[in-house]
Amino acid sequence: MIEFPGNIGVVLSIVFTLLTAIYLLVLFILMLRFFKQTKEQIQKNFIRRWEERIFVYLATEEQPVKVLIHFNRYSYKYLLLFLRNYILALKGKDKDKLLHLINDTELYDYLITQLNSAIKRKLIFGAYFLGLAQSKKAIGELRKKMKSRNEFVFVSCAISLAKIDAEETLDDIFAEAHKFERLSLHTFQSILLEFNDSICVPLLKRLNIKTSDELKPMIISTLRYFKYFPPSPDTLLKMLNDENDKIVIELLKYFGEIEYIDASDKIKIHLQNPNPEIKVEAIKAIKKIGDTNLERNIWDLLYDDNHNVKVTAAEAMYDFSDQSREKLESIEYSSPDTLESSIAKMIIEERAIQFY
Amino acid sequence: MNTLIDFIIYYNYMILYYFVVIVTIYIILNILSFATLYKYTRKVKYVELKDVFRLHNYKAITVIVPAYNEENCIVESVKSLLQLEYPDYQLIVVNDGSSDETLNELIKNFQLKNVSFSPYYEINSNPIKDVYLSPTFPKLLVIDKDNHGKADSINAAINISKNPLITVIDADSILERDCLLKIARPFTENENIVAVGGIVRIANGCKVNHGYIEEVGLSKSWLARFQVVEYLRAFLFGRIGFDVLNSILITSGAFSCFRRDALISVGGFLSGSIGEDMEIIVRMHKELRKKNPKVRITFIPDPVCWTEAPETLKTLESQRSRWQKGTMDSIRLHKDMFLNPKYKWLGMIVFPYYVIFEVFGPFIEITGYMVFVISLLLGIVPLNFAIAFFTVAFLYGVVLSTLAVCLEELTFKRYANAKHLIILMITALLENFGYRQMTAYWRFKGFIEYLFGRRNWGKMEKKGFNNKETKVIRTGYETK
Amino acid sequence: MENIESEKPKIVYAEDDEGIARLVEFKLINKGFDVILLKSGNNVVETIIDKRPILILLDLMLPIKDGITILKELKMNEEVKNIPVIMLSVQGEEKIVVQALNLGAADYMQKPFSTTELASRIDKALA
Repeated sequence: MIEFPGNIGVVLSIVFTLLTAIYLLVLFILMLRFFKQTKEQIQKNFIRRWEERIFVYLATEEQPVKVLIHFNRYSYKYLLLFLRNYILALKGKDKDKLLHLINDTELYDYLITQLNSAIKRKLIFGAYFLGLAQSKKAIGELRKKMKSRNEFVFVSCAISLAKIDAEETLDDIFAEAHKFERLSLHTFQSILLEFNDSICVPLLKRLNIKTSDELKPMIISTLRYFKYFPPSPDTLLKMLNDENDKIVIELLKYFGEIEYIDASDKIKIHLQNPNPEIKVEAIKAIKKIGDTNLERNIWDLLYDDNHNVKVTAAEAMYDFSDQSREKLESIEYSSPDTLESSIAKMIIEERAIQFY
Repeated sequence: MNTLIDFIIYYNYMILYYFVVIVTIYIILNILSFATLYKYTRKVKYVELKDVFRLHNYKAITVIVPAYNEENCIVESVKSLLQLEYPDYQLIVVNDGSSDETLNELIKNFQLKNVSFSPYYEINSNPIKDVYLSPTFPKLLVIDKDNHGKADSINAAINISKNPLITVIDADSILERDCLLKIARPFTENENIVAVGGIVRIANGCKVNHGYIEEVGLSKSWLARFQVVEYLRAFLFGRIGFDVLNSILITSGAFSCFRRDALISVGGFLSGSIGEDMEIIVRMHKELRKKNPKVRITFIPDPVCWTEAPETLKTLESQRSRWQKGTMDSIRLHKDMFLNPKYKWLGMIVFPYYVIFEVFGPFIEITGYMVFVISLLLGIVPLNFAIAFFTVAFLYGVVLSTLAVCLEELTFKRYANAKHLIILMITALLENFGYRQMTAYWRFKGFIEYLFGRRNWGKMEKKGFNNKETKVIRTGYETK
Repeated sequence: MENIESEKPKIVYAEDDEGIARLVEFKLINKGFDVILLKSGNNVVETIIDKRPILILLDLMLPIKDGITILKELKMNEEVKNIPVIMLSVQGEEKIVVQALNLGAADYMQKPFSTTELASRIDKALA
């Protein structure tokens, strides 16, 4: 019989270590739970005591500094978290008062201290609340901190600057954003969308200067979300000739959204674009613009090879005008075994239910 | 004879090493996942999910619910699914040739009207029989087709849908209201993400009201309790660890989200595979990373999907056996990824891990126990050593299970009731004294059955939530 | 809490955001109303039938049963269908707002909202 090397002693010490580990874990879990419940209790007490104080402040003409006297510095963090919910849900006089409470008292200094902390967590906290409070005074500080190598810090500061409408920092934001390879276009756009719609003017300018093809579609779709109508759309119209399909698609969506009728001539060309995705967007754009001159071009596209194009054309026909809708209905009945007819039937029945 | 004894002794060593290695791997995964979770919770602390309503830059989602013989719960399920918070989403319920009143219940309760349709099958799927829309519930679309299995139903719905994101759920998944807001987020933060899984939590013992989790609780059933700890250990903290290596090989069929263009380009779900939810993920890694090495598949760790776990041994056995066969099927179908340097971490480390520990693991474990008992009886191993050996093995497992409970307490803290937390810790202890061995045995059975050809689904018995009766018997999906 | 039937006019306010709910309740009480706060969609309809408020403030997104479903049920019930309902919704949900108005809601307010404006819309709805 082969002996088992290593004596029982080794095994026993392993057993002992494991038991200790389990014991420590259990202790740790209980500690966590205890701390969590204590923290929750503190927060609940806090809310109970001070909620009405804030409500009264909102209902009267009291000075914000007088209200803050009742809070000690250690409760500032909780106070801010408490106010957060209200600031997000309210607007008008109530919101203004809450912002005054942050901007015109020691809370502001507290936030600036947090912003300048070496601990990232505190920095983000400060940046977030300064943005929430729309503190114009903090623009300089935020701008400095935005130039961080950490993507999370950059995004937090940039979003806050956007919420404050610090248009003058737009160039900085673009410059910093380029440093982050992994920053998604969507996140970048979310920063831009937090600005006021007056940001569209400098954004439009950025389409002229050397902006990468990667960013252009994002900028155009941002203009679309703002529903921005440019004073002179020539630059944008010219871009409809661009070779980059993504840019063309965004432009088509954009012109459709702002219903820019003078664009329809150029859009017409894209009804013949080899890329079916572009054809689809062109049809949608024309439908939104409502240029009746192009009605029949859409009818022709019902016979396109691509299925998506056909369906989009049929939908456009139904929504476009009575004449087009009748044409669609006649196609359904006149040539019953064709694909076009079944698509027409599908759209007509769908719409009938939707507009029930 | 000597060689036989030597073999037995070496086998004993091997089972010990196996056990130590797998538990160590899981401990590492749990710790890695904790780091990921910590970063995630910090990031979302000051994110307003509802900003998308205001900013408008969201992607529309289609939620697909394959349904087979769900007449008892489908209406309730759909009603609560129509109340999700998201700016723009469509709900497609696919009636997979149910033999009961599933379709009629839907038609009756949602005023469904039959519409003609002209399908364009971008992905291969069996023909759709009928499509229904509702004038009073514009988000809802119902597809009726013959029974061809879950994968085929999902493919049919993908063909009909046009939205850029596709979420697939089970008919009895209980989803939290903001689940779509949460699962859509990763796609916006990284354009290379093609699939996001949600982590499933056990709903047994929770107070569920009309598809809404009113209160999280722990079931009185020990079997359910074991599964809670198991899910935390293996599916939550275990799987997120793989996220760090971008090697997630499975997302739960109960709740996962895909980019539609990615699904189309790999040809959709595979009909006839046993574990279609794992198979699609493995295939997406394989085919999409070839074209774009930056492609990622990730998880959201938030507890947004709750599902009912089996509380009877028979159903649990059938489920675990099925999962084992599903894993083996997916691995077999893509065995060319094994130790293939083209797939980097996934091919060289994670795929072999799955082969050794997930596919062959139960075999090693069960035969190891058998050999151990034999050697004990034959006197090859001294009794005191044997006891010590087993104690180490079990205790190490207890460390892992307790660690999982600890991580839950550090991150999501969903079990607010202190009594439940204590029960969880006791469960973590007891889990290793029988439950794990039992599930290993069932997986072993599944392993053997798969190798020798029996690849069917088995029955699933479940308790409905709002029924006073305890059993609603359903049969699972038939594969053809 | 309420053993004595109050003489003040009652408003039923269904809102799952507790902080906001308490603020609005505070303001409404100052205006002389009696406020019944409900945190989930669970028994909103039953409470309304029971208490017969003069006005209903209804958040769109309530747990268990959402605002639109509740609105539908209210308008189908002879006893309560004439009580004015003001819907509260998250900004950006235009389609649902239109649906609510079509179903018979008296008015709607999007969030973020101004409590002063809410007060004036309440006055308008009660006129």
